[in-house]
Amino acid sequence: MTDRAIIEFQNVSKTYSSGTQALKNISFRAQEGEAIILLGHNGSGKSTLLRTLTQFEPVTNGTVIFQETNMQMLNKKQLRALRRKIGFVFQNFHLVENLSVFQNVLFGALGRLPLIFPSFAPLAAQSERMKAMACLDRVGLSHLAARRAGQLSGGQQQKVAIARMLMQDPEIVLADEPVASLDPKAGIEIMQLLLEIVREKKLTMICTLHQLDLAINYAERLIALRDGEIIMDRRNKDLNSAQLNWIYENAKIQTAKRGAQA
Amino acid sequence: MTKSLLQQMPPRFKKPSLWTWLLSIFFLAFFLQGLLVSEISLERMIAGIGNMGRFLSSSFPPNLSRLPIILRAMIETFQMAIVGTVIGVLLSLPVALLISKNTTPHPLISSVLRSIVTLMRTIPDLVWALIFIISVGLGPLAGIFTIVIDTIAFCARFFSERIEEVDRGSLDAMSSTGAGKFGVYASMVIPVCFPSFVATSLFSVEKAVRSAVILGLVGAGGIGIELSTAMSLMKYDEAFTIILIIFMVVVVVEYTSGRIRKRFLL
Repeated sequence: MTDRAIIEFQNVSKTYSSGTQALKNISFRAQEGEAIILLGHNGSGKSTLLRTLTQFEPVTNGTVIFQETNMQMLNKKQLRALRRKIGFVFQNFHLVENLSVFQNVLFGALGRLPLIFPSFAPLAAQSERMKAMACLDRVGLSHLAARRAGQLSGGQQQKVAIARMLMQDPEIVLADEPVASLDPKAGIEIMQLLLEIVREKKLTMICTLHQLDLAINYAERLIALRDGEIIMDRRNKDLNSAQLNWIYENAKIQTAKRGAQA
Repeated sequence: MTKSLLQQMPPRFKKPSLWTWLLSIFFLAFFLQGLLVSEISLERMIAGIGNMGRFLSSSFPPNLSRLPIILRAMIETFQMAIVGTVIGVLLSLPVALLISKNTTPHPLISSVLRSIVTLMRTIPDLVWALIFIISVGLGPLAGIFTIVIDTIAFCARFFSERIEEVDRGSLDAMSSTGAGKFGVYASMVIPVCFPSFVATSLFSVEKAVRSAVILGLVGAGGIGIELSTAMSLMKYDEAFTIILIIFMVVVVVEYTSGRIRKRFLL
C-alpha cells in the first residue's frame, strides 16, 4: 500500500433538485489498495457518494478527485476514459437477462475497445473471448457461460456482474449494496469473492453495506454515514469493543427511530 | 365517537360538477343525433338481411377464372406490407431512441420528434395513401410509403414506451464500463427491449397486411383494386374469391406471427 490517495472527496455536498440534501460536507481520502466499507441506513447518502465519483450524480459543492483528476472538469470523452477504470457492482446486478452469461461478460469490454461490435460474442477477437472465459472462471461460473443470464440464481447473477466488471480491467471497484438482494449465504460468498479479487489484483474498493455484522467482518476501514454526514471513519483493527458497542448502539437507536417513524 | 365516524365517512354519491353535467348532456344529445342520422329502422334491417342473402347466393360458387391475376395481386399486397413494415421498423428504432426520455440526446429533439410521430398517427392511412398517390403516382410505391409512415407511427411509439421502462441503473451499469451512448444502446437498451420490439413489429405486420388490402381501393397497389372493380361490376362470385383469399392470407399471417411471438416472449 502506498500513501498516494487514489480517491479524494473534498468538502463534497449534494442536494437533489427535490431539495433532499444527500451529502453534507464529505471529506475523506482513500489510499491505493484500501478496502473501505461505507456503512449506513437507507437514505444515509452512501449510494449517492459512490455515484458522485463516477459523475452519475454531479456534486453541488466541493471536489471529487480520482487519480489526481478532478472528475467535474472532464469532457465526455475523458470522463468515459476514467469510468473505464472504475468497476461498478450494483445491488440489482443489471445484466441483460435474455442474453447469455458469456455475452454479458463480454460487454464489460465496451469501454476498453474503440468500437462497439468487437464486444459482441460472434464478432469478438479470440483474445477477448478467452479473457471473458477467464473472468467467468475467476468467479467460478465458466461452466454456465452459454446459459441465459436470467436463468441464474441471484448469487450467480451477481458473480456474472463481477466477471463483467473484471472484464473492463478496473483499477478501483465500487460496490453499491452488492449483497442487499441476496440471501445471507450468497451474500457472504459474494463479499468474500469481492475481497479476494480486490486483494489479488491490488485494487482499491469502496463497498456500501447496511448490515453491521457483514461490515465489521469485511472492513479494513469502516466509514459510517448518517444523514449525509460521516459520523465515523476507522480502520477495523483499531476498533476496540467500546467503539463496536457504540456502533451497535447507534444502529439500534437508528432502527428504533425508524421504527417509531413508521 | 360514532358521530365523528359518521361525519368522516365518504358520501355514497358525490354531486357532479356543472361541467360534468354539461358534458354528459352534450354527449347524450350527440349520440342520439347520430342514431337518428343513421336512419336505423326495422324495415331497413330486414331488407338488409335479404340483400346480404342475395349477395351470398350470387357469389356461390366462387369464380376462379381470374385466380392467377388475383393471386399475383395478393402477393403484391403482401410484399407491400412486408417491405413497408421492414423499412418502417428499421426507421422506428432510431426514432424511438431519440424520443424516449431516458435515451434522447436532448429533450427538445424528443418533443419535436414526438409531435411528428403523433401527426403521422393522427392522419388516417387512406389520407396518407392519397397524398402519396399525388406525389409518386398510382401503384405499390404509394402503398409502401403509406405503410412505412403507418409503421413508424405505431412502432416508434411502442418501442419508445418499452425503452422508457429500462431503468436508470441498467443504463448506468453500462456507462460505468466506459461505454458511450451507442455502446449503451447496443449492449443494454436494444437487447433488453428486443422481445418486445419483435412482438410489436409482428403486430405491425398484421396491421400492414390488412391496411395494404384497403390501400388498393384508392389505387395504391395490390389486391384492393381487384376487389373494388369486381364489386362495382357486380361480379360477386369473383369478389367472393378475392375475399376468401384475403381471409386466408390474414389468418395465416396472424397465426404465424402468433407462433413467433410466443417463442420470443419467454
